[in-house]
Amino acid sequence: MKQRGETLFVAALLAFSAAALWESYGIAGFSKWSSPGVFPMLASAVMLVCSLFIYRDARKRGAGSLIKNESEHTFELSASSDDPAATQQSPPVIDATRVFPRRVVTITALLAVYVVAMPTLGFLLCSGLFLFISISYLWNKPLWLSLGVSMASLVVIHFLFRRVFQVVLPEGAIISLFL
Amino acid sequence: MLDALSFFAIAWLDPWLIFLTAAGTLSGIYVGAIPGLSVTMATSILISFTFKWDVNEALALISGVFIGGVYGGSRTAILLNIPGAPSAIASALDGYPMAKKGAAGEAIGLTTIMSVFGGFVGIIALALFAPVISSIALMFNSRDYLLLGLIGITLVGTLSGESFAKGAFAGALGVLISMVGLDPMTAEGRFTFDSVTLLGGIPYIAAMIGFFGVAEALVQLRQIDLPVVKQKIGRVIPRLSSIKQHFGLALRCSGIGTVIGALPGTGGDIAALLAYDHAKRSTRNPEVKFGEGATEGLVAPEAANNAAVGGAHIPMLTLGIPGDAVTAVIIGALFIHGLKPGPLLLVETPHLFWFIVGSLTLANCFLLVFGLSGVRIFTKIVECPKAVLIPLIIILSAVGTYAIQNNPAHIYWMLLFGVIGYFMKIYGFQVGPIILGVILGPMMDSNFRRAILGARGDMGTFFWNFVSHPISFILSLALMIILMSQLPLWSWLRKRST
Repeated sequence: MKQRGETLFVAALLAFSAAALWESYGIAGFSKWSSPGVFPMLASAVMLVCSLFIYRDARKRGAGSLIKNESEHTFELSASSDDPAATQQSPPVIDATRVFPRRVVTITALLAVYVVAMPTLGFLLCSGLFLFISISYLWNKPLWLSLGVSMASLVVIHFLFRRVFQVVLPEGAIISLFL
Repeated sequence: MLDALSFFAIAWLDPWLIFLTAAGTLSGIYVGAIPGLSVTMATSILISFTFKWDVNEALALISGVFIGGVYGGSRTAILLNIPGAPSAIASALDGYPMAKKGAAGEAIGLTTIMSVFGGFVGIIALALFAPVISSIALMFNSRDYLLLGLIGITLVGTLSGESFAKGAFAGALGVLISMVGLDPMTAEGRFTFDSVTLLGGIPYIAAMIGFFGVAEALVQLRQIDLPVVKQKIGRVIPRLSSIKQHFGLALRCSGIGTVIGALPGTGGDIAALLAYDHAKRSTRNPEVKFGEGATEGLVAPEAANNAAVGGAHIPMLTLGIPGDAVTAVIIGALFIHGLKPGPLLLVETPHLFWFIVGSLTLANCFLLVFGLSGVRIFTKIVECPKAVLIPLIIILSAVGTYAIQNNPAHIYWMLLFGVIGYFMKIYGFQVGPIILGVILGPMMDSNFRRAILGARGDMGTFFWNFVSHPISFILSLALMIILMSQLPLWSWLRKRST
């Protein structure tokens, strides 16, 4: 069944495929069959043809009420899972009425800030903040519990990867100034 | 022979390697068991930490994770009716009804025994047939490798996801991602846009972690409120009579699993579904109906999906073609460790081949131990709230990506692929073909161009070579059949014949 925004997403893929084909053609044109641009051209041509079919199929299907997840489980859709009342009344119901639910947007935004800030703030401070903010946002438990879980997880991760696996983690420009 | 045995024994004699195999198996079971956290995700995150390790240590951990992860998916399939991995989808059909009847312990015990049995069959097949296939593969030329790559991507595209077009798109996207950077044959830039960063290409481990780690974590956020189902465990060790009763079926399904796993592009999920279908057809009078808790319906997929692990290693190690998404990730790790999976692996580095066989065997033994113990603790751990788990996965993904080359730019790639992967997943695209495309792309590109150069640039000779050489002809035929089976005409003909 079709989900909201599918046509738009597939149209974006279609445009991307067309641009990739154009860019592939620009590598060496049709100069030689063994030129470095031939295989990228073939790959982007396959993408373009496939996205045309997918676009046609997406347009054919009506807006549906079912979603299939990665493990092929079908879930019924209804209200947003951000609404606790709706979740309590019908537990198996999940949120898929919106393509990008609020909590996905929030965590993605947090992740974006996390990866941008990591070189400056360093792994420990950045990860600690990310864990605490995201866990307290997603988990309906007291803040001290979220803080405890975040800090305990951070200590375990740091010990395991820095000490046991010897992974070099970014210290951060700010921390380096003080060391 | 003695050499092979001594290489095999390395995995069994070094305490640190034994520990790593055990740790890999245990973590594989737990990660594989958590719905949404697939074995591919676990492998892609874990292997990123092993790049600075000795190759044997990395292989020991990866073997454990693979064996444990494939098995782990069945736990939640039985207890919660949510398969932890795609290879456990078939196990939920009868496993969950068994659990509802109060036989969750028996179901887990039987699953463990049959998974271990299937695992051994797959490993024996790997040890016996890989050297044979490897010697045949020495006769393959660039044309055949191109065809094998195409078959792999096409099969994954055909068998996974809701439409062939989506599978093929994903595979081609993976190929395109792998093309970014300097062309290895002419040093010309492809899709570099005059950026120095892009000259080195897109780091494929960042792509793997993005597509399998971050994207899956984001998708899981949508299902964060699913309630936890609690089951009564009961007796775990299965009765000897029950094992004896299903021995024949387990052996047949292990054979199915090994063969399906060995086909390029097919993995444990397809093997498990085919084995379930076989069990349904071949069991005339099941004690309990299929779908209502038939033990045969649990034995068949579990023996098959673990047998597929050994099977999937055959094309990976002998041809350099990954059997499924997990082996695609593993093959990427082997490349980074400086190894070249392919027909020459057994000739140049036989010790590594036999070490992998030894590690897989050891991991399978650990599976028996961990599978039959700690079931009650396991049920508690699986209940760990996703609200805590998902941020942790994201952190691990970031650390794993950064660890490859200590380059923060790789984390940006991870984030980008994570967001793209999220959208692809919710719109029914499978990300497995993308990774296969990323791994196989450079190999197919170079072999395509070598085949053309071999035909002196003449396209007529190039195409004629596909039908005039026996191996190329058989592979071309297989590819044509796979492609034809996706045409509407084929389904119309099938409908007409039935």
